[in-house]
Amino acid sequence: MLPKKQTTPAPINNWRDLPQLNKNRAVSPQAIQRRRRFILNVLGISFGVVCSAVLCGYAIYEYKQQPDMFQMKTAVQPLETIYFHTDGVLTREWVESKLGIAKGTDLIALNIAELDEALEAQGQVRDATVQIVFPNALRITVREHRPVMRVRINGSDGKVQNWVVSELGDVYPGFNYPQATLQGMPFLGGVNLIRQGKGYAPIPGIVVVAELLETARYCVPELYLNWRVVLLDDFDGRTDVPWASIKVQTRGMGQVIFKPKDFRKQLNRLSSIMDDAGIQRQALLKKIDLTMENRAAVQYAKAEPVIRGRLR
Amino acid sequence: MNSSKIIGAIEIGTSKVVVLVGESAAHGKLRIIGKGECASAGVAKGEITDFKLASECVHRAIVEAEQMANAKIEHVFIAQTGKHLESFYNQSTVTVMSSDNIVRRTDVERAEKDAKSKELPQNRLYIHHIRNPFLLDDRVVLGPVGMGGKKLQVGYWCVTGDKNKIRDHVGIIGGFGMRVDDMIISSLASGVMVASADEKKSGVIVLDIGSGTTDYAVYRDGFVVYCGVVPVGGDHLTNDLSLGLRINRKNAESLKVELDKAFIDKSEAENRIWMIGDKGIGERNIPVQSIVKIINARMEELFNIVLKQVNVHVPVRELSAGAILTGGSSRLYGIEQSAADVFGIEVRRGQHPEWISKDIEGPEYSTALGLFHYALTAQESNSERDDGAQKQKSAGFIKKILNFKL
Repeated sequence: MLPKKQTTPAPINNWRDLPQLNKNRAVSPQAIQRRRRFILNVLGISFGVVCSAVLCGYAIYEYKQQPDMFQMKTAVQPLETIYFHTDGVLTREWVESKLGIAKGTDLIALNIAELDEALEAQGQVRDATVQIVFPNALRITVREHRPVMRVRINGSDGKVQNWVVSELGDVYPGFNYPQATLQGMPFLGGVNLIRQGKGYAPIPGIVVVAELLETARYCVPELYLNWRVVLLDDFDGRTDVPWASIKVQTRGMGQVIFKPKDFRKQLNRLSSIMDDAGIQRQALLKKIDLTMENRAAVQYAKAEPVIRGRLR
Repeated sequence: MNSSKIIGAIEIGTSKVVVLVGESAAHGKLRIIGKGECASAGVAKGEITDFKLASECVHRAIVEAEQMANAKIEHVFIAQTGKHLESFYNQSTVTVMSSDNIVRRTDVERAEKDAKSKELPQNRLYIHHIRNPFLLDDRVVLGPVGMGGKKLQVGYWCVTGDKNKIRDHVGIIGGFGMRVDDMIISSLASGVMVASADEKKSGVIVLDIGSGTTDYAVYRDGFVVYCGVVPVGGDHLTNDLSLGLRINRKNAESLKVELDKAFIDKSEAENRIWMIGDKGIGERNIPVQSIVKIINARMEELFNIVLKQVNVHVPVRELSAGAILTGGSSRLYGIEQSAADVFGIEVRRGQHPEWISKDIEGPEYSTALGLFHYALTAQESNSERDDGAQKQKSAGFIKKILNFKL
């Protein structure tokens, strides 16, 4: 094996080639102090860098665990998404059109309280909640009225329109209800609608009527299917006045008059009457008055009314 | 962006260490913002004799200057002196390579490289290469590139020093965690402060008389033509007084400082001076004439040594701008008379520009102030000091440090 080739370093012939920094030559107290300070500075900076790195790592870890926490802190951006939730039939498009907001709207410029009021001013909306979801979204939650009857309205253009009446008496056009739902509801008649703003004032006593309709739908669904018009000529919402009654125009059993209480009893009596009448006589029924205690007045088209007692 | 640099000028003298801190601002202006001084220890005749003691006092002065400046020194320029410094003139001649005899940059570089590349003994190191004017076919030219000619000559005054002694100087600064940006011999540093461009052109010798050494530089035609160091300075006066009057060094030093004269008028010849001044036991009065005679004799001896050394290369009498004295020991009254008697030419004390702060206007600061000049013209690389170019830069230097403030 050949011996390793020895290389001789180039001779130093300029003072600049001399090695300058030699820690072993720091012999004075000032130099030693300066060196200690330098080492402390280096350690301090290193510690700072390590701490920063750890903090950054922790922040990244937290971000991965809870990205929302950081998103909340991000700057507000233009509206990008509308999250819409409802318990009824309204759609996001309907809400957008009613509120007049669209993608790209400056989120920070939106007045949430005004949006809330605008939504609740719509008859179909029972209550609404609008929230900003930072950085660029809006969450709208709506609770809708439940329609119980239809009502015919003379529109401003003279045409007759079908609106709906909610269980609380609110009257509104009704958006996006399925046709079957609308056709299954009786019309409301015998009330004077009072103008209020662009709509109508709530009708008093509808809560009671809604109870009747609801009870009928569950107790006597085959009869309820034939109910066409609910007349409130003799009912203004007060249930304790002697003349208070709810009239229901039906198909095939004439007019049925209910007292505004104890609906289940009255409906049972009605059901018995219909059973007793049989199919042939049902066609002749003109009026069934259920307002009397334990009794009912049944009027046929070609006969005198017959008073029946002790009915179930 | 702030491009200012903090520059430290360090002179490790025999009697004291001086550290000046300057802040170089935009457009080459410099502001002196700190000063640190410390009585030297471990230094004799400009050379380090006790590394630890010397380090302590240099570092103390650096700390003091940095504290005053409230800044950390980033670039260090140190002065170098001592009898180990030697210089020689080395000339090279090259033939112009191109067929049309037009000097190219490569010709100049070849000539310069040859002139600077003389091999040195193992224990010697180059400190400066001071270029003299080019000779193109024996014509003196400053910038030969593009000129026509066949033979290009260039010469360098090469200043060398003892490797170990230079390493000691660099090591003291390195021991404080700093790097030396440049090293300049004291005579050149003093020369740029006290001699004008016109004087250098006419011919002048600058003597920086310190405590332990006397550094001198001879200028002619605007170039440094010779420089050297004589290991005799103010400390020798003290020693001579101590021996001649048989008193201790402490009293000899106080006598020297109190009298502060190298020459007396006839009217003062009979005066006497008290040795200690308290008229206590051991006190005696000494004739002024005896003291001045001793001082004068030593000064004459010093100037004669310089004269003898310089005359070998340049006849001193041909230096029409005379001689300029600077350095701490040039404060002696009548010293210029002694020098004039020996040199036979006009002699004056060096004056710093008026705008130099009172704190640093004394002749003992010439070297440290001169280091700033080199700091400002540090673009010249590899310690290559072109005093020909310096001639043109000197006027600008004055403007550059108009902001001097302490």
